[in-house]
This record gives sequence, C-alpha cells and structure tokens, in this order.
Amino acid sequence: MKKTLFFIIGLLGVALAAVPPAAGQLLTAEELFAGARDHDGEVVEFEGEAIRAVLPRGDHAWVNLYDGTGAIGVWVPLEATVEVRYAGTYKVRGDRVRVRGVFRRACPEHQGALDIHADTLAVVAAGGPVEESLDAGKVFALAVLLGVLSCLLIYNLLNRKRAPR
Amino acid sequence: MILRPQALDLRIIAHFLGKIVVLFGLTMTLPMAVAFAFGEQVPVFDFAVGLLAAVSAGLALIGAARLPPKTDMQWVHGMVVVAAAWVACMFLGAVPMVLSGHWGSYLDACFEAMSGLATTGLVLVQDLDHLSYAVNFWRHLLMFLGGQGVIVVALSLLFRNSPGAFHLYVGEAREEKILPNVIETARFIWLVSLVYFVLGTALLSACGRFAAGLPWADALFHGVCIFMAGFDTGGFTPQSQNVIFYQSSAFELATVVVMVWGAINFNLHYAIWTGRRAELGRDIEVRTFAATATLATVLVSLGLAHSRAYSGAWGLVRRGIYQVLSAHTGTGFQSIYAPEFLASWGPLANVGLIVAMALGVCACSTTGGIKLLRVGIIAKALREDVKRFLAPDSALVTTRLRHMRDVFLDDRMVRSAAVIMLMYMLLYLAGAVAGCFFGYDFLGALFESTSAAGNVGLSCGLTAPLMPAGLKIVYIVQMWLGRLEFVAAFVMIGFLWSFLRGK
Repeated sequence: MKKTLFFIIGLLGVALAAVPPAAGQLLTAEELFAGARDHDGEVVEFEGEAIRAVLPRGDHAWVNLYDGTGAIGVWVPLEATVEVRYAGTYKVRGDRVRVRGVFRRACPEHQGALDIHADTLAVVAAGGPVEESLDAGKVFALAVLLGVLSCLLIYNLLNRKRAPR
Repeated sequence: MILRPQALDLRIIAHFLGKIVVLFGLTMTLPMAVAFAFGEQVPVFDFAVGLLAAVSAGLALIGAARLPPKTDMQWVHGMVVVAAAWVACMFLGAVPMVLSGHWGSYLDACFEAMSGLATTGLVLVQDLDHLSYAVNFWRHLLMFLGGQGVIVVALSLLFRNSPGAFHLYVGEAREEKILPNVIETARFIWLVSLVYFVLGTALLSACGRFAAGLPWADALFHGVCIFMAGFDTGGFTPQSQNVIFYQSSAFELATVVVMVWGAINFNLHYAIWTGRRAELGRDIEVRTFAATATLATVLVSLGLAHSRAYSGAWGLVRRGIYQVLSAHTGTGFQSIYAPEFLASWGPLANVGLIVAMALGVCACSTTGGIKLLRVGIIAKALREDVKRFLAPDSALVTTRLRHMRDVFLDDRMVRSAAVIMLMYMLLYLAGAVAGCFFGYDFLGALFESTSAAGNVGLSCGLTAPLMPAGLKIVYIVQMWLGRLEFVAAFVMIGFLWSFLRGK
C-alpha cells in the first residue's frame, strides 16, 4: 500500500515537473500594480481596451491598454499593431486587446517604466464608434434655466433704471 | 464684543460675488466652443446648463444686492468675496462635470472642481480616457483660471482701480503688486501667461506629435491642456495614466520646463521681461529653491537606492528627479503609477517627496504650499540668531535679503512667515490625522494630505472614487485653505460667526 502511495506521489511529481513554464497568467492592472515586485520579470497575459492612439517608435510601438482597473503601457512590435483599428476616445470604443509578454516593475530599457514587453497581441473584441445620447432631463433643465435667466435679466434692467444716479 | 454685520455689508458682498460668478459662468463658452470644434453634441447641453445656472445665480445675487453706484469694499468685504467666490465657483464649475456622467456623485465633481481651481490635481473622475474633449478641456481650464486667480480674472475684466480691488487681490493670497496698481498687475499676469501659453503649447504640441506620436489634432489638444495644467502647477492630464501615457522622455522634459517656469514669481517674470535677468540668480526664492530641491533630490535618491527601486541612473532621473520637481513645484504630474510610491519607493523617498510638496516654490506664482520666500526668511532669521550669539554683546547684527530689492530682515516679517508656516504644518497634520481616522496608514495619509493642502496633486493611490465622503470633504477644505493661504477663508468664517453671534 505504502509503495503504491509513494509511486502515485512520485508520478504526480514527475508530471508537475514536466508541465511547460506558465503560459502567462491573465492579470488585471490593479493586480500588477499591487504585486509589482512579485510579478517582476514574469510572463503575463493582460487584456484591455486600446486607448487614444497607437504610439509608434521605429520598429516598435506603445499601446496603452485600459482594463477597467487601470491602464498600462505595452511595448510591442509595430507590425503586431496593424490589427488595432480602433483606440478608445469619447466617441469610440477601442478594440479589446490581449497581449502576452514580460512584465517589468522598473524596465531597464525604458528608464524604470512599469510596462509589459509583449511578443503577441490579439484583438479579442473589435471596437467601433459610439453614439451620443441626449438625456431629455437636460433639455428640460435648460428650458427652465432660460426662463429663470430671462426673468432675472428683466428684473436687473428695471433695477438699474430705477437706481439713483 | 463682536459686531453683527449690517445689511449693507451683505449687499456689498452679494454684488461683487455676483459679478465674479457671472464672469465665471461666461467662461463656460470656451468648452462649448471646444465641443463644437470636435463635433460633440451632448457636452454642449451640459455646459449650456452650467452657464445658465452660473449666470442666473450671479444675476440673482446682483439683483438682490441692489447696491448703490460707486459703493466700494472694505477689507472684510474683499476677503469674504474672495473666499466665497472660490466656493461658489467650485459648486457651479462642478455642474457640467457631474452632468457628463463621469463622476460618481456631485460631491466627487465638486472635489474635482476645487482640485482644478486650487491647482491641486487630485482626481476622482471615472473612465477619464472616454471623457469628452469639452469636459476634459474644462478640467484644465479650471486649473488655468484658478492658477492665475479667479479674482485676477475678474480684476482684469470687471473692476475699476480702487481700494476695493486691492482688497480682492490680496485676499487671493497675493500680497505683492508687480505694477503700481492692481488692475495693471492683473493684466500683466494675464499678458505673461498668454505669451507663455502660445510658446508652451507650441513646444508641448510639437513633442506630442513628434516625440510621443499623437495625431496632430490630439497633439494640439494635449499641448493646450498640459500647458494649462503645467504652467499653473496643477497636474491634471487628459489621460488616466498622467504623463506616463505619452511614453516619451522628451515630452516629460518639456513638462519640466513648463512647470518650473510656472513656479517662478510673477515679479521675477516681470524682471526678466524688463531685462533684469540677473535677478534670477540673486533672488532669495530662487536660491532657496536650488537648496531645497537639492535636499529633496538627495533624500529621494537615498531612499530609492535603499529600496532598490531602479537599477540604473536613468531610471532614477526620469522617475525620481522628475517626481521631486513635480512635487516641489506643486504640479503633481506623475511619471510613475500612484501605487508605486508606497509599494516600490520606500519610506525615505516618500518623506523626501512630502518635504518637497510641503514647501512649494514662489510667492505670487501659481504654486501652493508654504512658499520658499517664507522658508528663506525663517532660515535667515535662524542664521541671524546664531550670529547674534556668536558676536560680542555690543555688536549690531542685521541681515539683508534680496527679493526684487534689498530688504532688511525684521521681526514682523519673520513672525508673519512663521505663522503661515505653522498654519500649513497644522493643516498637513490635520489631514493626515483625518486619513488615519478613516483607516489609512500614517505615511500614505500624510502624503495625500500634504498633496491636497499644498495644492500639489501627487497621489499614492488613496484618492479614489470609493474613498470615504468625509475624507473627500476634508481634502476639499484643505485645498481651499491651502490655495487662499488661510486669511480670506478665516475672515469669511469669522464673518459668518459674527453674523450668527454678533450684537
């Protein structure tokens, strides 16, 4: 019985050791900020919305990704960014992008920046234009305030006429 | 015996407050123009509501006052108008912000409006990266208006030169006139600022386009916003990552130029404009700035070396020294993420930053904090005391300092500097105690409190939409008191007290 138990434990140990290195843990920006020292140098996966614009730098580019808990700069080969069509602004929902790469708490290549050097980038959900929608309450408030302002203007003009010079 | 204010006192205050509020409301036409330029429709309605609310409130005050023509202000009126104007502008400036839906509550929007006006830079905005151009511009415009001074804006446009105008000017924490009359001084401040606005925006836009890689329209918009936040030592940025977003050392260097230039006394700007450039090297504030910036840099560098935050010298310069300058000038631009301060920097580096934030830079500038003129005066007084003990009893020991002109140090000057310094220390400490009361660690609470009261805007992560409402109110009061340097705010509180309890 004991021999069987040792055999199973040994088999499990060999199996665990044979598992390839972590394919990259999917982490949020908040988790990366909070555990920056622990994750320093690790291969991680990060997913977020591309923000404002892809910022090209020679054969590489910066893509700032926002995941709802925070935004992180991702350093990525320029050719990988061709997939990114939309970057998030007021009128645009940016492409949701997943990257895999090495996380650095203080990147020596970028003078101490907290960043991810990604080797893969994939758009997991396409973005697109966002329609503005006007709340009817705002139009009503505007109409009421216009009325109030008109009354006040008339009152002040009458006051000025009555005032002694 | 405390005298209860007369009806005329209230009418004077209401009249001048009303005028300032109307003018403040009219400034909302600028973000409306931005909304038109970028084809945004909903923000136009948000600002129209804000504008009409502000102008109506102002006209209601003027109408209720019915002030006889040529009635002028006394000191008390000037001080109360200034303190109340800042509160009124906060409440009204928050209207278009809360309507945008990017702030969790009206209190959060008021926090951000006061943070903008007081050129602090702490933020509670949510999903900033999707905020409209118009509202984003408004956040930065608030910094520009507040940094130049809400009252300076009003003096430039609305008031004739009178003793009352001087009372208003002094109430906004500006004791030094540049030109013989305050209206000309206010207009000079605006002239300087507008010239630098053009130059600074051009520099930042060029860096945004060529170094950061932004499209032209965004580069120009960001150039305008970052200039307003940098020159007025505010620290708001259009993106949630602060200046990290640009991922460019050239852009960061341009912000250093702008924020250091904005931290200089407007009197020194006048001296430079009139060809007296030697004043820069002789002035007590500039010399003290060189000494205190060196001290803070040494502290932060030692702290960063001890905590092994960065492996190379460039990391230390780009992250460490940048943050020292940002803290010392009271700007609050961040080249590192907020949680990194406490998680990676270590206590000594944070203490160095807190010292830099607490001190501030020049009087009669857009910075907050104690101000280096006061620090310099107290340091000189200390040296004079030591010299007096070392000298023979019969010796007459005097100390001269250079601030635009040679001045002999006297006890009144030292007392005044020491009182304000003590008030700031108490304010920093009070905010830290409040932070501890709400459950935060002392170092983080002191960091954030100093940042709020010194109108800096660096955050170690404590300021967030989910922080307790009580702490938000504490920081709003700290920002207000810190920007007005206490006097006007205390006079207003005293005025309200005498109204309730006076005879």
